[in-house]
Amino acid sequence: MKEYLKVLSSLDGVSGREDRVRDFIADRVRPHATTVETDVLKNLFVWKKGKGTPDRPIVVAAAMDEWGFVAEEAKDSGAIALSAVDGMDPKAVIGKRFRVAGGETRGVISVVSQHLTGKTGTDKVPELRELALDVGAKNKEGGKAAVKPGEGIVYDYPFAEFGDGFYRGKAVDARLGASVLLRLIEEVSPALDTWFVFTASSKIEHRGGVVAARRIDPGTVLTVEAAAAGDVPLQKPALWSVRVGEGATLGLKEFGSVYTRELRERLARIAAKNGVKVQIRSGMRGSGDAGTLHTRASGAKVAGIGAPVRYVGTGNPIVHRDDLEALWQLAKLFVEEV
Amino acid sequence: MDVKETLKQLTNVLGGSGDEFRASALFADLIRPFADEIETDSYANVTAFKRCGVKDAKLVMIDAHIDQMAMMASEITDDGFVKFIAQGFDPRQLYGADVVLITRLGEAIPGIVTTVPAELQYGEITDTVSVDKLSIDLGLKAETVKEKVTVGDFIYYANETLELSDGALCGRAFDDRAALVSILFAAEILKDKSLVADILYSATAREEVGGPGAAIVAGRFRPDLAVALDLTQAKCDAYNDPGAFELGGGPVIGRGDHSSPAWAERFAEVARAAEIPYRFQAIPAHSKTNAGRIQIAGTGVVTAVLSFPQRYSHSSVEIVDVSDIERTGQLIARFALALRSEDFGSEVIS
Repeated sequence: MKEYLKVLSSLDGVSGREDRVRDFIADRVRPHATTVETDVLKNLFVWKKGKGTPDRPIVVAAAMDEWGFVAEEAKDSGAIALSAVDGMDPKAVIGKRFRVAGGETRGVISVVSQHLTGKTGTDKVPELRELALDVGAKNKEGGKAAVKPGEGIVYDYPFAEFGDGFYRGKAVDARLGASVLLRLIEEVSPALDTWFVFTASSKIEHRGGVVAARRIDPGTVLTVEAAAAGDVPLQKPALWSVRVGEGATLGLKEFGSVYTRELRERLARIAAKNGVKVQIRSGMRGSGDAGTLHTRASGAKVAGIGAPVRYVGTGNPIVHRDDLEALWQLAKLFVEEV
Repeated sequence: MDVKETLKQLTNVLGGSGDEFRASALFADLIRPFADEIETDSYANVTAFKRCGVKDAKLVMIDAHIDQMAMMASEITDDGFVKFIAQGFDPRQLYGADVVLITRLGEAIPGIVTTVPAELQYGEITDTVSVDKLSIDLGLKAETVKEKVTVGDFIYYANETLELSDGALCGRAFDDRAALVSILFAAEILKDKSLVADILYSATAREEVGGPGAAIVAGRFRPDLAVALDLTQAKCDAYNDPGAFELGGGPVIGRGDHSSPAWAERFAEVARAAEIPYRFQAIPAHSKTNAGRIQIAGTGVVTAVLSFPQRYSHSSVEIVDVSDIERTGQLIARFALALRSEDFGSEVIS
């Protein structure tokens, strides 16, 4: 899985600006797919004929968009005003490096030195709106020359191996599911006809998923994504949700949706039968594409699988190769057997 | 001299307060071609003399500090996370930061400062960050961490220097390695020039813990004038006071208790003559530079403070401008060339 994750996480595509990612995947899957389509929201639909045909369409979905910002106008100071995708944590961006998507221009987000603020107040986190991208410009003209309004701004942390079997780097979290889907399309013959859907704008109200559901009207939905792991000393163990090293994750629910128990238990049985390590993902307070995809048309059964990822939403999310391998095996079994 | 490359080279080597020997060795190599005598003392202070050849010549010390901000491992948890001390760091800068831990055997292990994803945050960890709640993830098994890591290991920001737009550079440890680049820039210009005074270029240890390194050097060599080079806060989006120093605005000359107004005026004269843009900075009491310790070294030393603007000091994304490094180096060289014996005054009153 390493090469898939490396190549996809290295592409730049913040929500609404997924073109590079979509075009790359479209080129790769064309020889393996029955049909390849896109839509106005930049979703990518890859249909692969199976041995049989299901009563209602099966969708296996993953998001393409990554954490980041869209650049606004340069300010008088030369810094670039920013508009964040949903769910960005201001703490995670302070003192971090960014680049203009697909470009060479680099910048950083920071707070002023405590030489200026004094010790008091250094624990107070500013609002995202108070932060801006510093590209080194000294005035508005310098800022305007460096970054055009509307460009995507993404974390600038390259893919790398980390510690004992981890992968790190920007968008390792966001493109983990897409990496699994790309490999499924290239390597697996589905039991039943399957729509592999790469969604756009998952981090802006799941807008890609909304129209994708209506286009296909699925009867079964499986989403593949990073499962945020809170298993660090900063967090109480009861709130860890999932643990790194404990295998692929099976979701229970998300904000606004409860996943289909029967489907989850079936996945758990398949995993047990094939010796794939799985764990329950308990603490999903946010919303995923799963909730959107199974509710926006006639209704569908839904399951969400993933791999535990620490430091989701930062420039350095990490995933362990064993967990990623477990996720790959589980996804493969689903497509081959369900 | 290629200022960008020299700064990259100097910031790629790690040297926190108390752990300066690697950085000192590199600086000694860089200044060696421009010096007549060079020494690194047991405190990791580098002293390099350019002699003028005149007996009993006056001595001018041009100083910047070699040490950078560093964290230190304080505890290893059962799960193999490393708790740490980070005095002088802004905890918000540390959240999710890329770091590197140097083991007792000198191995550099990359690490990530822990964060909790936004969707799993509850209560106080949403709005505040404090260092005592953070720890470092090395991605290693707990037993490996316990075998390799020792309480007291130094920990640094891991990122190397990055080029931004418009001549700006971004990275760690610019405070005060960028000032050392200015010194190298000046030393190269002065290499074959004849002067009326001896020059002592010094890169001194442990400024970030109060400046004992500079005090040791000044006490030992008793300069007739010491110029402390450091960085000052530059204007940025969140700090835009009308009087703030502009990035790229040129050297800043201190005036106050630690920075002799007479010598400040001399620097200003030289800058005007050389058409180097400059500004004065009022330093009524503490300059928070090595000048404070140098001034009371030995039987007292006349000091001056010279700086240039920097954004986000003590972070991993400090920003300086290449032109400020060059112009400050230029000013030091012109100042040395313009020195006259009578500038130094006398302690004899009648």
